[in-house]
Amino acid sequence: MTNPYKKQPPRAFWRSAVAEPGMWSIKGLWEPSFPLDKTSRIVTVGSCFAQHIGRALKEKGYNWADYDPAPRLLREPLKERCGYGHFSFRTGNIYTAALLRQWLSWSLGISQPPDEYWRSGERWIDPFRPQIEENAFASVEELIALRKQTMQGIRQAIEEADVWVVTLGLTEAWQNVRSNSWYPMCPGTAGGEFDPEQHRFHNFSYPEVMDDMRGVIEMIQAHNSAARFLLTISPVPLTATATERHVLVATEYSKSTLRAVADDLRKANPGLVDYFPSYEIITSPPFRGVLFEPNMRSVSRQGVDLVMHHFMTAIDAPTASATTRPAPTTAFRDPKCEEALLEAFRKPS
Amino acid sequence: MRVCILGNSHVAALYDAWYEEKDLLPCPVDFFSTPSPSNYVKDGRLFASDPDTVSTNVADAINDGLRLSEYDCILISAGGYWVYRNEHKGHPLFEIRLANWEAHELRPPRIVSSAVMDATIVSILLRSPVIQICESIAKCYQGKMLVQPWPLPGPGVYEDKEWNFAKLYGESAPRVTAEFFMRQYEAMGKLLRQFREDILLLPYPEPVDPRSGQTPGHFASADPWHMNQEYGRLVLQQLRDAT
Repeated sequence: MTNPYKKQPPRAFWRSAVAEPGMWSIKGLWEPSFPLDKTSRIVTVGSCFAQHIGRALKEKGYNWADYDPAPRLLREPLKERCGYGHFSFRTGNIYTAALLRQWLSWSLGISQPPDEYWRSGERWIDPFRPQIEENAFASVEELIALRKQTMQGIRQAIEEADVWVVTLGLTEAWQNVRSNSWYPMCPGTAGGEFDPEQHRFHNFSYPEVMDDMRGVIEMIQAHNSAARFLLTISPVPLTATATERHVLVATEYSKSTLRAVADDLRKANPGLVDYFPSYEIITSPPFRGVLFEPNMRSVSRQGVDLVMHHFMTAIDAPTASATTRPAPTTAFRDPKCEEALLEAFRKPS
Repeated sequence: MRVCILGNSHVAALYDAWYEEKDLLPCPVDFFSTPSPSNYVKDGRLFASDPDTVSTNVADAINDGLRLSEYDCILISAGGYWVYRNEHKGHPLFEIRLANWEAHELRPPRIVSSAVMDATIVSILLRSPVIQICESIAKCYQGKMLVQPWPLPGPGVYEDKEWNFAKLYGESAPRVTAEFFMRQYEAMGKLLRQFREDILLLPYPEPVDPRSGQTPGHFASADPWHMNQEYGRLVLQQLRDAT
């Protein structure tokens, strides 16, 4: 008697691929569908988890492209504090597909950023990257000039980058209904003032995220047909939900939606779009949740190392095998996660 | 009372002034300078990393080091980052600028925020040999410490058509220099006070106005980067008034 499963490789079976090897020895989670080597110019963008990917690529000698570099003479610890080096652009976290599409649209001149700036005492916050400057900008002119420079960097990346590693994080977002622009953070959390007349909550649906991601891919491909896209989903749960649902349930909605979009894009665009399973590595049952910190939200150093081990193994050394717990990287830094600010609002005022 | 004036090539102007007019400072004055000092302090003595480059009127200081505790007051000349010269590459103002500093090149320096500019200036100062010497001295010396800020260039530099800095910033070059130096001055003051609360960063001596981005021409020496005896006289007067 025969059936299609008889032709499936061992990795297709739970017992041989998951239960028997155990969590530290699972192999073959990802096989890149397009080349990603040390000559590839790679940009990373997305939610806070993306910072780990960029850092690991850089440490391993990959051509991680920084289109918004820090001053060479600025001391290393200050570079991070000043918002440099987290992503390939100094955009801050980009949690949603809509926000990524917005940044690309601005950078290509398809649309313009609105004239919206948040005052903070005598200084100014950029609503679209509210924590990029530790003490805000000295003036609106400075804010605009620096944002323009970042957009020039994005434009350059659109034209040059070989691979875009996009880490999607959320489906929940806030919009300014007057300008139709999307914020990374709800106004009133990391700056600005919340105004129910102009600030609207939205939880993106599958069709909307798919539309935005298609828009992202099309915009980039229109300028650089050689660009490829590696999507991944941040395993970090929501700090807080603005829906009426329990945050655990809201998190699963977000992640499931993003996960479905990512895989459907991969299936529809073979060789152009790929998916890397960082989400599965951290959150799926075989890993038993041990890769989170005690707050059950932040990914532990060990979790990051395991994710990057699988990533690097797949792109770097196809013959390498993971039979033991990966050694920790020498430097581990918590990614800046503006979302964590929301935790402050849990406390009664 | 005994005074020591030590530091880099800017000591020369002070030495020239003192040499011609010794009663400017009614006390013994020792000098110790190296052109690009990467000196060090050990057991309360200042040594030059390259003894062959030392200019001093203390004969045994070259080999035995300068015993800092012998002085009631030490003036370090001059603290800060240098003005761009064509032969020196890697000046920060060729890499970064503020948003309102217009630059005239196909690839102008990257814009940074004023906060990042200030943080970069602090980073540069911390690497500066003179500032590092200030820190070392502050750790072991109890007497009065004064620091002379790096002189602004003479006006001749802005008239030099071949000066790359002027080519880059055009008519804004004096303003850019002024802003950089004033930010540097403020950062240096804070940094020095972290080493020791009572370190005095001398103001730019009148009639020098740092907002002009230059030192008046009659204070400049043969090259616009160094000042002359007249300038040195102004600084020695400041030293005298501070002690």
